[in-house]
Amino acid sequence: MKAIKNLLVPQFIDALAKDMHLLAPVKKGNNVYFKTWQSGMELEWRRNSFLPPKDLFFPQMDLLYKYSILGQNGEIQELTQSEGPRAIVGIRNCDLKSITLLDKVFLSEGFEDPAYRHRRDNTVLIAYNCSKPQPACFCTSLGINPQGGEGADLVLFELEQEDLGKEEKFSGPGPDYGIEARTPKGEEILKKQRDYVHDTHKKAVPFQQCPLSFGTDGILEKLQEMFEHSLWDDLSKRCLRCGICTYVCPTCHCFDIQGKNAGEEGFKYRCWDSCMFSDYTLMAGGHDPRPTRMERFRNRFLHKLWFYKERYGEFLCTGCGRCLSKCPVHLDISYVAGKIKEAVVDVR
Amino acid sequence: MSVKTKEPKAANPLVPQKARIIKIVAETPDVKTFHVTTDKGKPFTPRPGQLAMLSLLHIGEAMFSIASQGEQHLEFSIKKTGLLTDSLHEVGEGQTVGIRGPYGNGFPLEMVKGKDLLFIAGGIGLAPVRSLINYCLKNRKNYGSLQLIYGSRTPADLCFKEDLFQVWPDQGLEVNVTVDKGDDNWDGPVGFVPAYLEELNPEPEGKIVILCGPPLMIKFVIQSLDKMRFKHENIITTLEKRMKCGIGKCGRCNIGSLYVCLDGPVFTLAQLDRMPVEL
Repeated sequence: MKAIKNLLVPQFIDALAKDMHLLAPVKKGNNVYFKTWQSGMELEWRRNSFLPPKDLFFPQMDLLYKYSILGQNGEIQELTQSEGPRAIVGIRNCDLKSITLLDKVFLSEGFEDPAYRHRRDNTVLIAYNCSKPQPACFCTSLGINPQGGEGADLVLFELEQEDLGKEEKFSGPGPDYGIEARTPKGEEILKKQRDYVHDTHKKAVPFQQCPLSFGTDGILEKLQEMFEHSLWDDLSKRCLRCGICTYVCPTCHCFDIQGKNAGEEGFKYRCWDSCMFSDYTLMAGGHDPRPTRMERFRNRFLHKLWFYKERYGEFLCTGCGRCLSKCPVHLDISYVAGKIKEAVVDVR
Repeated sequence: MSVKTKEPKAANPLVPQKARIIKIVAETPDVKTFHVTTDKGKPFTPRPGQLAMLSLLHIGEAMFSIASQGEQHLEFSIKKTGLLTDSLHEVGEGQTVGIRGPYGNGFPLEMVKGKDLLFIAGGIGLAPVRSLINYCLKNRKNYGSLQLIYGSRTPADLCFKEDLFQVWPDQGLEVNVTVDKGDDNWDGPVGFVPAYLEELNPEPEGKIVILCGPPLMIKFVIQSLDKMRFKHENIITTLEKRMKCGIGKCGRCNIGSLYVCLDGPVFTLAQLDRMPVEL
């Protein structure tokens, strides 16, 4: 197996950053964000980034076209993305999974999103396989292997440290990292950066159990009997409709199309939207098929645990735990899934 | 991030093609029909019941049913009801618009072929139905009896008056029109569509119903159809939702796991009965 010495990791990343735009999870204040790597930054991949790397493929704002309008006459000019090759280092498996879930939305059904496609094709994914879950993690409940590295070009993982004295372990440089190529793109990178890599017989640190879990067995079938259940009223009363759950979610992909006028010109852009907001389904003339927070709340959880699975075969959740730590009233998906499990369904 | 412009063909399905309004017909005080074409002719050739995104570039974009089409143009019948539609009602012929589509499944042409068809529409709900009526009349020999029951608030609010009272009856469509409230010149039936439907009492055997109108009318028409023993698999309706992308990605027009823009807007009542419907 190939490995990188702990102290060589920053240099390895520096070397990668010479060839392409490199993004990595770095500390900023008390949080971690995916940022363009600059030599000397503090890498932090042992905990989840504040926001998922979703916006690197599906930005909060994406330009679509510009237009001009002069009297009755207008012109339309498409705007296309032309970012060069990139690599994202340090993506954990929950976020890695979210990218494959977003692929099903943006790259399927006969309508491919060209900007999303461009970014996917031009991005090397270098995963970080977790060994230590965080307090809000439950990816294994969604069938994700936190050390699987599925969909990555390269994977990095912590190696067991040699049996040093306690003191030395504390003050030492930290663990070395195993590195494995999963695709030809990954092989190429590994070959090019071979100076940073050595052979090792050390073993990967095994994954400790997720602190949280919820059963997904039969949840879709149960939900199909629960569309009119009182649970939705009871739970949604607490919802503040702030939308943070959709903002931090790596799989929420709802968007709006908006425009900005500047004199005779203007541009249209696609931007994130949230199903929790009141004008999301409001139609011209005032009719709204989801008029209250109950319908909006219900739709969000049914989308995650029923509708998406029925359409694409998987749950639209990766157990990353961001909604758990961010929801101000603790209405996160693991809590709601637990309540669904407890709910009594009338069998007629 | 650098952004460059690309010409001429739009590769992004969210980017409209440039089109022009070439003719505007005032149907009622608040409905106008817009004929839209491009420099290269008809923007695309939709099937009856399909949709398109129409935009005024500096105002906004919304999904409309394509009410009809000619050799060189598409027709949209649009009620003045919000920001974009108010602005559309103010523009003149020659106005540049954006158009993209066609979207949606359209009416199930195979299913209705050879059948007796009963069209039931209320108000602007006649617009999507019109695309199928025109299609059936063009291929008249492929269908059995064709009947339309149509209602609006007042005689002035009846859309497509020329079609209703001249063109369609001449081409073999039985047209039955009612209004909620008559006026001095109206000598036809007065009353709501469901009551008129029950009065006409059409035979359900071998007949397919195509239903479109305001949600409340649909609700009561379905009750009447149930009374007359129409089967739900023989009732077709076309739905509307707020839409942004039109291609099943932006999220908001779902009914359960289906997207109205992609899998609809046309569903049978039997399909809707099986779905968690928020209308």
